[in-house]
Amino acid sequence: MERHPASFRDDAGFLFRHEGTLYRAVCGPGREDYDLLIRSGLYDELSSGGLLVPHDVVAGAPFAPAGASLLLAPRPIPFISYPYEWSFGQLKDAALLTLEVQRRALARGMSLKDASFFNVQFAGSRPVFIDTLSFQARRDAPWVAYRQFCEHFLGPLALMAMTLPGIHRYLAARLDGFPLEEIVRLLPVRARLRPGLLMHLHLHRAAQRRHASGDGASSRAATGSFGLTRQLALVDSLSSTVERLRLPPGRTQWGDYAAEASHYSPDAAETKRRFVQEETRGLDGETLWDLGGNTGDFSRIGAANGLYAVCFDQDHLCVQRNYARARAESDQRLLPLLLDLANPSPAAGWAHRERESLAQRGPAGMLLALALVHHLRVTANVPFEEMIPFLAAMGRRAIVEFVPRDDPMTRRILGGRDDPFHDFEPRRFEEILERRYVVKARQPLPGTGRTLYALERR
Amino acid sequence: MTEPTATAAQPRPRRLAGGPGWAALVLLTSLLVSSEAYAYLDPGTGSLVIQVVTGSVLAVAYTVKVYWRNIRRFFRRGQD
Repeated sequence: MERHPASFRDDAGFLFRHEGTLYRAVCGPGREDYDLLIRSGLYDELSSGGLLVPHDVVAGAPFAPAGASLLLAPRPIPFISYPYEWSFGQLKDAALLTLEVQRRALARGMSLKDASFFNVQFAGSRPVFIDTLSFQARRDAPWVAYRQFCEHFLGPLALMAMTLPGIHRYLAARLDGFPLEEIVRLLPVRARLRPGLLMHLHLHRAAQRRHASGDGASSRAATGSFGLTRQLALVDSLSSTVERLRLPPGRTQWGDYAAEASHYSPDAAETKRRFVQEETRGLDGETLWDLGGNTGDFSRIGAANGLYAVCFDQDHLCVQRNYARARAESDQRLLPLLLDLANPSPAAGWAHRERESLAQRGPAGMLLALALVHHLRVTANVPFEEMIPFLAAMGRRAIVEFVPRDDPMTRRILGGRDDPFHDFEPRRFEEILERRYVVKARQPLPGTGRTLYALERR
Repeated sequence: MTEPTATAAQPRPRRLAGGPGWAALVLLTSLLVSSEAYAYLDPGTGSLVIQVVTGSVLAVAYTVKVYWRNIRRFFRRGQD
């Protein structure tokens, strides 16, 4: 049994892996709450509506850990992602999902005992609540997870909408959300004009400061009469506050790249599409990582071939656009994520083990690196000798597009810089590729100096 | 003979840090405590207090909203 390294905070249960399958053990006080979740009809309502991850009860398993009164096998999530990899729209939808789950829980006599952004995952473009043991019996008391909701969701979203759209990337260093203190300090004065933000962030912070001493009696204070109507009213107010937050309109760096891709002739573009289509065939069930995938045109080709596509890009608005499209199409096979490949998500949290690095979540069955290597080579200054082994570590197969030095795009990225890149030669590139990969197919793109390679890891 | 102005000359007692309203609220709610035996998340005292403080306002707004929605639904149904 391998206990999940992020599953130790709540003694109601924990996650573990046995022979590759993920299980959730229900322990001690968690059992009563779990039984209520089932008995109240809340589990059926949430899981049939796609809001909560469904699970099977595993009876009489010989590997059940000591102390577990019940074993659950949740339906696996194909790729685990984190809030600092989501776009604004994803964080907002995760917030609204959490509130909707809480609203339905309240209506059935239960309440969420936490409101962490790590309790939400994406199955394609659909957010789903994954913590089956987050529910407890409702009492006439204020919501214990109110502060956590404001620090994990409302505050970061308000900051994204009103300061920097990409500020949530710093959540990678703030795994318990932005503290209210910091949120209030960073928000512009006009945030106070919105009653929801004023109440849930500014006044909330003021109350926190006033009661900062937190002696024994007062730390249990205020759990008096706070009935169902007030609890529903709080959730409703939070929902409409979140709902009203919007990203300021902006132009993406590469958002119009596909539309403006004048450096591809129609013939070259078609050849590229056909190559990806051909090389992802027969891999259904595998994961595809599309690195620098822009708004996901090639991810979608893979997804149509039955792969689960994770489309990474470092441009927030690009990811936002891709997500909006995937959401509109209810795409269950495409997950758009934010990632700076030159500084991929690190392993983080307690003992470096709670949140996995990108590499730890791999390797992918298929990697796409289309119109990417020249960016990494020139902008991030990563030599091919460094780049190719990293790509090989992240995917068992790959489709890589080589973009030569004299390509218009490379020249554009180079700008006025001198060209110190001695390895920027097709022959040299191939030589480095062949150390790690077997080249399965090679396809020059007509009218350009570019070449596509279909590769399989040695 | 006592100096009648002596008491007036003394410094006035300082106000309670949170003001009498807040103090009364905390005291009242402390008396109604049912302790959180299994809570693993620290809710934060201020976060609980602020919910009680804003609770009535939000509840009124919410109730009005729900009634209004029901009224609209009733008339819309009437139109069909």
